[in-house]
Amino acid sequence: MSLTSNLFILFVFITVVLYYILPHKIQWLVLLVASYVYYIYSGPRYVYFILFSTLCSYLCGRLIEKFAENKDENGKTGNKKLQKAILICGLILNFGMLGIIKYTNFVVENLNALFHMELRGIEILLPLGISFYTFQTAGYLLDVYWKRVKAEKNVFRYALFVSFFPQILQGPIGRFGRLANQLYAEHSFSGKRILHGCERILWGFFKKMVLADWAAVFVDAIFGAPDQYSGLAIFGVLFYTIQLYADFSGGMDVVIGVASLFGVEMDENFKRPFFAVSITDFWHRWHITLGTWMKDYVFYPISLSGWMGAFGKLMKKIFGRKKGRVIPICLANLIVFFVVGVWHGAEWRYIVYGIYNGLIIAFSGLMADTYRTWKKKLHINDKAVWYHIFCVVRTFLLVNISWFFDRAESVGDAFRMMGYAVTQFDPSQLLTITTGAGGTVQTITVLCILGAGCLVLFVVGLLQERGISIRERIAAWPPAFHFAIYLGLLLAVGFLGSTASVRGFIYAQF
Amino acid sequence: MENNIENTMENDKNGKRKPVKRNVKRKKVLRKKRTKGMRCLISGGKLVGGIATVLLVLFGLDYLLYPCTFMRNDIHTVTTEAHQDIFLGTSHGKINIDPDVVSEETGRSAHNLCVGGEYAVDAYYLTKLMIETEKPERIIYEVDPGYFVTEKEVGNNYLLFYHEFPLSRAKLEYFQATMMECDFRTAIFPWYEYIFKYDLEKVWETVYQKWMHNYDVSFLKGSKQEYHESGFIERYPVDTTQLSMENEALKLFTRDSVKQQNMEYLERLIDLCRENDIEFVAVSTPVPASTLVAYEANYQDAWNYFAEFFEKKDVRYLNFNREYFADFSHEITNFTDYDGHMNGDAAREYSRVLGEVLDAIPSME
Repeated sequence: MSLTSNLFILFVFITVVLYYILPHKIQWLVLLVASYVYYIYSGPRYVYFILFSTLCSYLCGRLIEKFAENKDENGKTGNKKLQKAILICGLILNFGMLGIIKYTNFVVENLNALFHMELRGIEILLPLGISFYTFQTAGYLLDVYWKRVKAEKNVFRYALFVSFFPQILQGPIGRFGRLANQLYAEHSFSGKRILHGCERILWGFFKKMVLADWAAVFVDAIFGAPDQYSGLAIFGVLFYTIQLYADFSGGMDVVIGVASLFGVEMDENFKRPFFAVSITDFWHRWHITLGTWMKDYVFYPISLSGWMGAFGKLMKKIFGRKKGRVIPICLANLIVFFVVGVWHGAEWRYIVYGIYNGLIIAFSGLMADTYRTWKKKLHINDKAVWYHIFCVVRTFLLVNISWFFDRAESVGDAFRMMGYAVTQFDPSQLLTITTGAGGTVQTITVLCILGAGCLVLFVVGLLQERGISIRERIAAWPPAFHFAIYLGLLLAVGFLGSTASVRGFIYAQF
Repeated sequence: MENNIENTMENDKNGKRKPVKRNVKRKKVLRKKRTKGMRCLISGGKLVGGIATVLLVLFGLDYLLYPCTFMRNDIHTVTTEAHQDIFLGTSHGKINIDPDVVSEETGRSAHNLCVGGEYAVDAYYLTKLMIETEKPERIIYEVDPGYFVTEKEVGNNYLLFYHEFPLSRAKLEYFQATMMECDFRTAIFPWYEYIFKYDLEKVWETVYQKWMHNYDVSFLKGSKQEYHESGFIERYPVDTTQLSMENEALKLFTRDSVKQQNMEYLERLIDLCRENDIEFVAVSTPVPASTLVAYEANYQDAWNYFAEFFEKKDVRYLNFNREYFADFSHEITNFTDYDGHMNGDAAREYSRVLGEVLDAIPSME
């Protein structure tokens, strides 16, 4: 059930009505039933996977807490070893399922290629949202283990946390401590909240249909035939930037908007990423919930582990105190971004994409002191506007390079396209790409729509970056203006939206 | 007490403004009491007003921007006029069958409701709609094997039919079966796919036709083809020496690639006709001989498959590429492409042959 379908709109409408007219005590039950209906409708076979993940993490969480409360012979509470064993068991079961389903064929393909074997892969479609709910349940287990949250006693309530339907498709990756209480709380009907939710959903549809889907026409053509469109490689990646951002953040707007109809405030996943001044900053603004998940559950545990401490000491001995302190952090970052790459998909291009980001962050960590010295020598003021713009442009370029790996069909294609990007340039080729259903829309019209749409996004982003809340400003205007703005946005989706073939959300495939 | 004192300006007896101190506690309470009820009313009014405005705008835009298609005429005709024979099927049926010529042979009134992109699912709900409105006596279903190995694209292909359905149970069922999975724009902006190719000068013409309930079809005439009131699209002859089979995007049939959903709807269509005492006849229109030779395996597989299927369903199947091959010339000069779309003259000739065969059916029983 796509987020843009008539069925989804109807489904949300019915769920919202039931949510507010039924007794508030069972509101969470309405959400649970709706979530499972949504999930089963999207693929009844895959419900076993989410049930398995839910039950495993629920039981492990309960056991971890139980053993944490038990007293041993000496009167000490908590059997740490047993808790750890249960935690590891829970994580292996969860990640094991994800690994088998998502990565078996990748491993088999590589083994076959390396050792000329003829191993057979498995034939299974990726269950809906498996990468998202696996990370969510793993995060919950770790939080229970670290006593950040109490284990949920009611299995049905816990099942809602794992399966909450707006987020199941493409995140954001929820944290139990932030999300669960909101899901279980009773919410009274609030017209203002509903209106805000609808506004957010509308903004998401605008991004998806007016920007992402039009940009996708060019992206598919250019990345689909890189040699034919060699003069457009640089445009291909720029269009992909528009498509990916508008698609993913538009999807998030819809998800967050739908959740807010139920009084649930989800974590933001984007914070104007293309205003970032470094790759580190970019990852604090792009897919934020994945970034914070990685930071809390991968980066810190690795950085604070015993073996990393020993490695740090060794590095200090070899490279001195300063560099010795930075190198373990760089290594932890490399591991984190390797995992980010693997999370994105079982393909080498994703792994290269992750490592590329990790390497840049590691390199800038290692070079931080050198940069500081250079800036001092060159009398560069960090706070100067021109320097800020320079950093934003530099980051934008580095991010765009990474998209070649993310979008190209293979690593080889990515490098070839990078070569084309710097050696060939022929914008006139753009006009040879057919747009709209059956090529019925003039390419120049689509380019104008994309340009205007990007301008709107840029202005909105710039204002938000300066701390101006556009929604609040609009809300303060007279109701007629307020209404006209959103009616205009709705009509823009109809008048300017893509008429090319219908496509789903990119991150829904993860 | 201090907080309840409000400094205001009021007119005195002489009409001069002067400052006055007033206890507003009672006034505030009253305002609060009043506003609670009032606020609800205002909010409700705003909501209703807002929704009404949006609906009005959407309805108005639909009226202005959704063009008058030939399907508007077709569906209007079959739901308001009683016809004995209705042709359903794909573009081959639309272009190769002239119902007026068939009628001359059979003596039965007929309308052509075929169209490119009409899958079995559409034919099924169109039949349901006709049963609700003007039930035909016979459905002649044109079978294009390519339509059973491909899936219908979501979007405007459903809208072409759905938009013209009059309010009915069939419309609701068709929406539920097909449009639910479509992009929400199909429901609120049915014109969205037309907007970029819309001729603004035609807005008034569109509005005039809709307002006057005018079903004139004279404007549906282009440089390559012409739509007739009977639902037949006449293609003008082309220079066949310029045609190339490589340029055709043929949907080739293989038994393994049959989409079961399409077959299920065809079965349901046959059963629906049977339940409602509507005679059902299947037809495959002629394909150029050179295409049949080039893709012999695919076509033979298709003809065998459908012959078996219709035999199992006890349905008469008139295949002009096999049993009735000799009845009509398969020379490419009769066609406008290698896919099997005829020119107008050939279509009329073929329709005469088809009419004769259909007319002979009762005596065959």
